[in-house]
Amino acid sequence: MSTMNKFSFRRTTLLMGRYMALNFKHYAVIFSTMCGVLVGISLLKTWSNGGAYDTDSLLQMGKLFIFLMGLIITSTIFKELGAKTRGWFYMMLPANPLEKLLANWLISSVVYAVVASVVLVLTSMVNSLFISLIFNEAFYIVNPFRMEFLKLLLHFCIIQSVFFLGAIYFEKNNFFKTLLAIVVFNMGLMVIIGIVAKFILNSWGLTDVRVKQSGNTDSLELILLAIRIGYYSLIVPFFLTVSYFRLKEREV
Amino acid sequence: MQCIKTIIHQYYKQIIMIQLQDVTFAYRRKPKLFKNLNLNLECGKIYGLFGVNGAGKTTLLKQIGGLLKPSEGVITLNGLNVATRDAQVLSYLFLVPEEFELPAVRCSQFVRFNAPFYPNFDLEMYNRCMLEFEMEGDDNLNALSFGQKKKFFISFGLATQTPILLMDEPTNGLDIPSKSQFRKIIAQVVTPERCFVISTHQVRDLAAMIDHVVVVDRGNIVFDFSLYDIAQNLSFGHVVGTTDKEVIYSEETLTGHNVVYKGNQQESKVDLETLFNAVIKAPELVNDAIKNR
Repeated sequence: MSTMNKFSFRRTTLLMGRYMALNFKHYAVIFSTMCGVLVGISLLKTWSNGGAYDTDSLLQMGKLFIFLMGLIITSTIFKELGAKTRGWFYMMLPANPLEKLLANWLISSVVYAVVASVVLVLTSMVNSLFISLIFNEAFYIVNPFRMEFLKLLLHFCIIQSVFFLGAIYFEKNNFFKTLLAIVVFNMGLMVIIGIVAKFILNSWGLTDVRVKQSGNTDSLELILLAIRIGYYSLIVPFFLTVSYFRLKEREV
Repeated sequence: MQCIKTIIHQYYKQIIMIQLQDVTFAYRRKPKLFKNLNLNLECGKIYGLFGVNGAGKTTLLKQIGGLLKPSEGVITLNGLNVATRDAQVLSYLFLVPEEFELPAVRCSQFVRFNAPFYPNFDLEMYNRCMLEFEMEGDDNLNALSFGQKKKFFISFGLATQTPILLMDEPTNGLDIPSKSQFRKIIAQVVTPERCFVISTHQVRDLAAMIDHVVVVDRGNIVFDFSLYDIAQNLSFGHVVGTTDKEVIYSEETLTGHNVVYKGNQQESKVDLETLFNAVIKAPELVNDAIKNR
């Protein structure tokens, strides 16, 4: 194999730098909007509470924003590829499909999670500044290392891999099409689980079984454990592998 | 010196070569566009790829660029399958499409973020080409006109120094001075290590620079000869009235007939437009005239 075809960390970082440089303005607007909306909502909420600052609400809203925005950003991470008059340049850029995949995945998961956390902390600082000035409340900064926040980022990185595939698979409206695909898939899965549960466990679902067979829950616990392991360890590699082949096979 | 040049030429001819072997291609739910297409492209040449509208010139360039995969057959670049789109293959190729969009960044930013992917990118050549095109300043690409964008992108493509440069209608959108600037630039940068494939229907724009003619028609390569072979075996002229020479093709004009004669009967410049029309109307006759000498 030629040395040029071997995985190159340098090319991967070049691709990341290229993406971020070309989309810097776009993301600056998105994060500024997020910051503005969060501060606005928080100020209104504090005002409606008679000046009492609910420190937890900013974190909860921030979590929701980060999660949803992250999925939307992930859905558009391959927008260059989807554009007919621009996709060819990206496809012909001398880098291996694996490098292109990894660069965009790192941006939409790890880099996004770090940047979004920093923006949330900055937002809480700006918010606290306004609240302390207007309502004379104590200064509060969101702690991005709180377990619930870290858990959210972990779940985000898992779920976003599905949207990552959607970003490569669909050409337009990637976010909504992926969402629709997930809903249809979940409905189908629930029907299958229901039917299997009815035949094997004589029940229409797993929760019902837990109540009915409280004395003997070993098999159920095993199933739930398998689902948990599958969720945490299989979803990301599976969707990234499918994304890789999809990217490799993609044509203009 | 000439001997060294020839050796270098032969060396590059050996290492850089595109081969289309029995390529068959069809767009989804459409009839076959190409059927068992065979073509060899060598370094050191400027290929003119001609064809009527819808003949498949752009599709062929996309196939060579690895952007479309043949349903049958294979396209190789030095033995590497271009459909894999590996970094090695892609570092050999650059495509200037007919229509394209560029990101909303300055010219220098575009170069800074994209040039590092091309191992032999020559910034000096880029600056020289931009200067030749009278593209001064460092404007935002979104603020440029279509012709200016094209000049910028052609400059970038030439500076990548990829052995294979594919250009789809490069003179479309260029004003008259820019067309001659383009010809001048190409003449300056062509080397034995590089192969330019220029697809166009504006034959006159590029007649002076092409040294090999490929004509695509109805899914086939109907003509594939060097300008040298053409000049050796055909001659072109304009006739008012009749002629006693062996004419293999003639077309009526306002003042008489443009004709293609068999054999190099007179010193004449290759008239690409008449040749193209002759190939489309009577491909067997023209091919036989060159092959049979």
